[in-house]
Amino acid sequence: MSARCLPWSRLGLGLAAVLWVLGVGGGFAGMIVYKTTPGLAAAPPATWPDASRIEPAHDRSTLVMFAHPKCTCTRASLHELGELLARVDKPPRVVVAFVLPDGTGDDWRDTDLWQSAEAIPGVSVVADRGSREANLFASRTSGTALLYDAAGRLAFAGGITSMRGHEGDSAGQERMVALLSGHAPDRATSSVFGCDLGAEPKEKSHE
Amino acid sequence: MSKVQTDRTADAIVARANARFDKWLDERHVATDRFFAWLLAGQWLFGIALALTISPHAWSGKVESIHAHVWLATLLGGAIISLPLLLIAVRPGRGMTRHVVALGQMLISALLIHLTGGRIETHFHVFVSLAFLAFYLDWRVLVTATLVVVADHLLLGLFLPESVYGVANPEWWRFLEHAFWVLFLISVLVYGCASTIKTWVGFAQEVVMLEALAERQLDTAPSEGA
Amino acid sequence: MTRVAATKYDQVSIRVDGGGERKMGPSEFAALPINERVSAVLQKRLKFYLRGVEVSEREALKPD
Repeated sequence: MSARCLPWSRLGLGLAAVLWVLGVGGGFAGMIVYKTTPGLAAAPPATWPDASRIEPAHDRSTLVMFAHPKCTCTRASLHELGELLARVDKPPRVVVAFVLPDGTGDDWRDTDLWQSAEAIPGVSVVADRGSREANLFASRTSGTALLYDAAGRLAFAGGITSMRGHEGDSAGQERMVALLSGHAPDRATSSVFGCDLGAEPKEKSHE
Repeated sequence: MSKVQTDRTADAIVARANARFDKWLDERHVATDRFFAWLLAGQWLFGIALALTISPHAWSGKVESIHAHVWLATLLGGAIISLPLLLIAVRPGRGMTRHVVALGQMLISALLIHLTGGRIETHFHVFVSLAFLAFYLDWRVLVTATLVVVADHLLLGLFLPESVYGVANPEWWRFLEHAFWVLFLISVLVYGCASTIKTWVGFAQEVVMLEALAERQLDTAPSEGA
Repeated sequence: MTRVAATKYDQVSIRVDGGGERKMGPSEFAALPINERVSAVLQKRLKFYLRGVEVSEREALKPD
């Protein structure tokens, strides 16, 4: 045994160990809770709002994702959007609307998320100035994906990641893929994990 | 020299050699503890830098706040390394210290994986950590580290399978695929540790034989026992 | 031990109680308990050979 041991009693070290277990265990538990706590759920209209300036497709479904241009968790949502589109034979019209609250400058348009979205094949990117579209579609959380069918009826509302900032399969993605493949999913909603878009609240609810 | 005297002399020589070997191994453990002190501290700072680079802010509309990842990297990361660093400072070279260091190192792996959103590349840190822990030349430490990986997989696999396997409904045998690679590495590392110890024991025994020869040639009784 | 022995000697002869001799190779000698080997050195009961020619203890036990 080394002669360098310092005089800490067994009791002192035992207490330190207990505190450590509690602190680290609590920290990891808190991290898991944070990662799996969804944002506010969307309450979109059952049919495509006429007032929307986003043009829906009439020959296929339309998927619109609302995203905060600076939300790091949405990086995973955009990655999963690309994965989702690669999995379906008949991809929908896809629009990613970056929500730009009033008073934000051009630097909000020049973000890596914006560039990532533009790089996904088949995706149109629009700027939602003043959160107008987000308000119309009652979407509160970045990463919210809404799927409307060719007739303009809401088919799905929710997120496509399993937890905050985490890439990989998710229930939301599976449901979206099922719908786009002509199957009925088990549910038409899923949790959304992302930053608050700061849109005008229509109602507050958690999934 | 009578047989009794010879046996006593032999015991004394071997005891001195064992004490020398134990001292060498203890010095190895203390040096590895110091290495991990720097490594753990460095990884803590790296985690903070990672969080500040990848996810510095959370947003609510246009209002920014410090992202939870920054707090996690700073506070949880700091908590993880605290006990290992305390033990390295006050109980260097001890078996308990090595095991707590192993716990801390694997928990840092888990934290970094979560900070990077489960990125596949960050999982390499697990394997690198196991290799570093082999520096202790103590196979039991590798078992402790492996148990942390197993526990992490079991718990998260039960409650959040997507976070572990990347798919929502993994096959029941999926954990075996992960286990195989970990066990593969552990087997090699354990063999390496045992082989190194065996080689050093061999070196020590060569020295012992020479000491015995010198002792006989000097024709002196041993001055002390163990 | 075996690595060293392979270059220094290829046979060991230990004088046992009763005057007899026990011959063995380097690996078998290395496998004997260390206390037994040390006692044998202290009591001058060892002889080392390389290709049939006796080598001194000092040469045989010298590490590389």
